[in-house]
Amino acid sequence: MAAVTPDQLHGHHAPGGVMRWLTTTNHKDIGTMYMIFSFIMFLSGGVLALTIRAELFKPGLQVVQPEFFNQLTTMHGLIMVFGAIMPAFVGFANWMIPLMIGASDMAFARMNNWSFWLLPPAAILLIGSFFAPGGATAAGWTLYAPLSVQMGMGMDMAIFAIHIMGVSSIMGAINIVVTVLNMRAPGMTMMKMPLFCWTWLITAYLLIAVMPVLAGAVTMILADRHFGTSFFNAAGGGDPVMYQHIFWFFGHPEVYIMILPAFGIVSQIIPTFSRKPLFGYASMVYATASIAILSFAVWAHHMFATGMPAAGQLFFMYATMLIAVPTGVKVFNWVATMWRGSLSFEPPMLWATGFIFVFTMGGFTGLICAIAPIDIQVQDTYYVVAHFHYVLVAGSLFALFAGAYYWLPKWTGHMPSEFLGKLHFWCSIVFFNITFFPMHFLGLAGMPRRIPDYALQFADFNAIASVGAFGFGLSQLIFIVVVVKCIRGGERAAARSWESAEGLEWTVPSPAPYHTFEEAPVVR
Amino acid sequence: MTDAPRRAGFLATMRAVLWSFFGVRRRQAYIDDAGSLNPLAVVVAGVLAGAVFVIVLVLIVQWVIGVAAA
Repeated sequence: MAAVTPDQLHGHHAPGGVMRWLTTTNHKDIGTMYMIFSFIMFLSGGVLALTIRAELFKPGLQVVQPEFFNQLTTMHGLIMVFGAIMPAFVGFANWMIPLMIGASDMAFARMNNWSFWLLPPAAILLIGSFFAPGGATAAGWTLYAPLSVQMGMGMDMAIFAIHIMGVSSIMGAINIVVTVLNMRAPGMTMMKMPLFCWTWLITAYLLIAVMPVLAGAVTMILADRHFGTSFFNAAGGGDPVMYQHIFWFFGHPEVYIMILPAFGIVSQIIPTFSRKPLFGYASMVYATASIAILSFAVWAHHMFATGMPAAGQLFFMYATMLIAVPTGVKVFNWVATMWRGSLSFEPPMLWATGFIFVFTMGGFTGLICAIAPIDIQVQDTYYVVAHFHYVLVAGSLFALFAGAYYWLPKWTGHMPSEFLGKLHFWCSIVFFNITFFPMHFLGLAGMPRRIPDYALQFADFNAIASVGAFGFGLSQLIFIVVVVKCIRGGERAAARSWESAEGLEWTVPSPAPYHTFEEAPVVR
Repeated sequence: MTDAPRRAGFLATMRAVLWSFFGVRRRQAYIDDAGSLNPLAVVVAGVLAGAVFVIVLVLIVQWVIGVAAA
């Protein structure tokens, strides 16, 4: 393989210090910045979540005022979705896709820099909106009209932040599509691509398709707020429910934008630690495509309670339940990969198997929510909160940690501490379930979401959930220790850091040199 | 599997798209697909199949509602 070794690094004339990071067009630098950014946002969103849980520890109002509580739930959602999960996956894509397909960099290296550096201003706008008159937006992360038409300038700041993050996402997605389609090494046919590249290719198409829809929705809100239009104002002939249709036409594919790359990461890790090739590679690709296609035909399952005709409810209910088929294909393929494999449970594998277990539970509660008559009961209760945290925390976040532990040796040149990695995993999965499992019961018993106070009968489960949340939050600090230790030193990682890891990324030295595959490798 | 043509015909494209709706595909068939399918034809077939999928679902829903009303 024609990898560049570290002693060849010093030939290039790049600026040092801060300017290196501001002006970099290197996919590894940009990937690193994406991941650091997303982790900072993850901690920020986490602090908001812990404030929410502190308030909900017991009935009554103790910690925050109701108005501020609504800002917390809204901003927690926006920050985690747009600031933490999505950029983290783009970071992984930046770092790993060129290494996996044997490309020297991303296709549009300067646009790559721009798509990252749009994010910090967007984050400042979003988080800064807490300090605007009237505070941050409190309309819920979905920004439903008419609430979102009524709020103070914090709402405008959130709208602009979403515009900027949307532009960033679209540019990132275009970059990934072009890189995957045009820059594969000779012999790296589409069907030889690692599954992570496939899932990101499909995710990138989803992003390009739906981010403009979100931009349109929030722009219409902006116009309703300031320019005298009445898109969503019933008094002016508009329709607030139309906002929900437009938002969820973005929102449901968005769910898959946040989970398909996670599927890709898990599909890299399971075969490595099972010491077997991935079972059903082709069906994995087809299942990913299937999920992506179906995701466009299910949006109104988020809106059963808005009062749609029975025919509409049935259509969206049937379409939604069909998604269980390709998702089931994936879960069975992962389990079949592990079946009779020579398994070992290093931290990446622990996180990946944890992902399969807990994500599947979230998938099943999703199926329950998809049944219209049940959804009418659990709509806007903690059951839904439990469901989407099972798929987004135990799904996306666990897969991100799995991927981080898997590729940390490639990024830093040192093996992550196995003890701390395992501690991080076990603390996370135990506290995660302590936090979110009781929420199923709370939801079934009728506790509404986004409310700072609650009736006495909900007290015990809320106390348990709050204790779990603080345990979960504190457990994440272990990850900082792992990463810092990994950067500073430790056991040196071999080029192929895990015994049976397959793929081009393991043919370059660890840490990966600044420039890799300047001469394309030939894949047999 | 029969030998795949260099450029897949309409039926072969439709078959690949329909398998993608189900989410399962034999490896050999997939390799043949990757070698012979025209991406533009796949997009057209995908949109077509998507429309058919929605129409079929609507028909099922109409039938269910009809049965419930009767």
